[in-house]
Amino acid sequence: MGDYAFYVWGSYVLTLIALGGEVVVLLRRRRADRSTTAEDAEVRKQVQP
Amino acid sequence: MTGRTIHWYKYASPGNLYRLAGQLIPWFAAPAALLFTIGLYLGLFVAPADFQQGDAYRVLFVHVPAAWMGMLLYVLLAFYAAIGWAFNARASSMMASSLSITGAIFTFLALVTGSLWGRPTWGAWWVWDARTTSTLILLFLYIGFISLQSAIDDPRRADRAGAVLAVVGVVNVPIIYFSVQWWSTLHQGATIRIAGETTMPGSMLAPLLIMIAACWMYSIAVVLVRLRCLILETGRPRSAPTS
Amino acid sequence: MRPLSHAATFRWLVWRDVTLAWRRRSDVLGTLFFFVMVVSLFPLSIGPETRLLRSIGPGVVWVAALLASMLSLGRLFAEDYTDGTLEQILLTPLPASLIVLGKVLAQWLVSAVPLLLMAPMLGLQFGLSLDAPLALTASLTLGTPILLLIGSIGAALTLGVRGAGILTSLLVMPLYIPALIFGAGAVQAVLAGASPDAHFRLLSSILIFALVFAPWAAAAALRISLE
Repeated sequence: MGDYAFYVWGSYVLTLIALGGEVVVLLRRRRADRSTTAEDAEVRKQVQP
Repeated sequence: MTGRTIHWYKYASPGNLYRLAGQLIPWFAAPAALLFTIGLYLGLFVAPADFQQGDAYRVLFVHVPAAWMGMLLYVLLAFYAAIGWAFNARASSMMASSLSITGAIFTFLALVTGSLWGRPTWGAWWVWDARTTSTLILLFLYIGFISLQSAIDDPRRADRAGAVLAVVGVVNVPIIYFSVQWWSTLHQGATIRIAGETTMPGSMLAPLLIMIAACWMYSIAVVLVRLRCLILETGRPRSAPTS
Repeated sequence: MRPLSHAATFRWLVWRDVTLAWRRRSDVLGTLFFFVMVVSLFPLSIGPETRLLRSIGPGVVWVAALLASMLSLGRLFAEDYTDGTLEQILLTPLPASLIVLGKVLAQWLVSAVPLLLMAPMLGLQFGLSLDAPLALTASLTLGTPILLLIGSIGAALTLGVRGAGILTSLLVMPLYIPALIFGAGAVQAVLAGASPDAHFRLLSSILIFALVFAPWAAAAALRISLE
């Protein structure tokens, strides 16, 4: 990569971190949402005998 | 010929939309991963070094797709927001909100990778030329939209207020771009001219197109995941956005 | 009692807002003092060298006017909103976009006109002489209505929202940029000895565009905020 290694690898790594980070945060949000929805469904089932 | 036509209106219901989105996601996530791998490999190792810029030009393979996605997603966002406002369609407004964060991230990436490209090639971390300045302003437009929606608690008001802002923004984008172009050419002496886009040889064009396609697939997948999260979160008291 | 015509209601609205602002003169003068003080910060931060000041003068005065206009947006709808008068005014037969236009006109008369009168003097502080202060006032005369019209959209969208002041600024600043470029650019053109015609024509086009579309957008935003 010559003298430009820092810039080229830097941009690619940054892209990976940004997009990968977006995915990670999003999947964590999804997991949280699904568990809350599951809990709500549980509660509703118990409330309606 | 019965019932084979798709009744799109049924996907206005969040329940159906949730299901449809869930079915679509793998069809975009898998190609995205594949295209990213191929594109990165070709861009980093196979494409030949540039005559003038050496290996530094390889930043282009992430910078250009990011810039394109930033712009395209903003227009899409405005479109969905306007539809959601005009037809009172919650699902459409949720699409707009889902698009906003991904678009902002791509725009930010475009700016940072642009800097990393500019430093070795133009000698400066930042150059106030028409394109970089317009991209910066686009990021501000995204920030405005996201801030407005997160500040308003009532989801319907947030949807509609966002729609007004997005429509006003998208209408202003040509005006802003024109004025920044004007400003840039007036002060041209102080700025460094970017080398004009030369026609690219196929070995460079291919990775670029693959990376653009990869970003498209990625965006669709990520936006659909976020959309499903928003659907699940409907009706819950709103807190600070997570992502 | 005979219902008022649209024109009469419009005149009444402008008169009402101007009178109310006059009774709270300190608010209005605050905008003016802010403008003057912000302008003074720049030589203090950059140094008093005349040539440098002359080159940044138009931009500095324009940005200060922009910030002052942005701050005055908080008075456009918020007070009427909190005491319920805004809803009452919207119930009158006067179309909402004309209500917005009337309020913006009143705000302009009260907040912007003092800035216009002050601007040439501040221009002199930056070493702008001959035609430049005149160009500065002219560009601000065209520009401040644009800023208030676009700003009214932001103010309407953020009614009653936490942190509305900063939020409005975030929403509105990107949209201000074309007016800023052509407005400050006009004065710089005059300083460079070139003709500011193109700048003024573009600025006027933006003003006309804003006059036609901004009240409509702000009215839509008001309706959304008040539901």
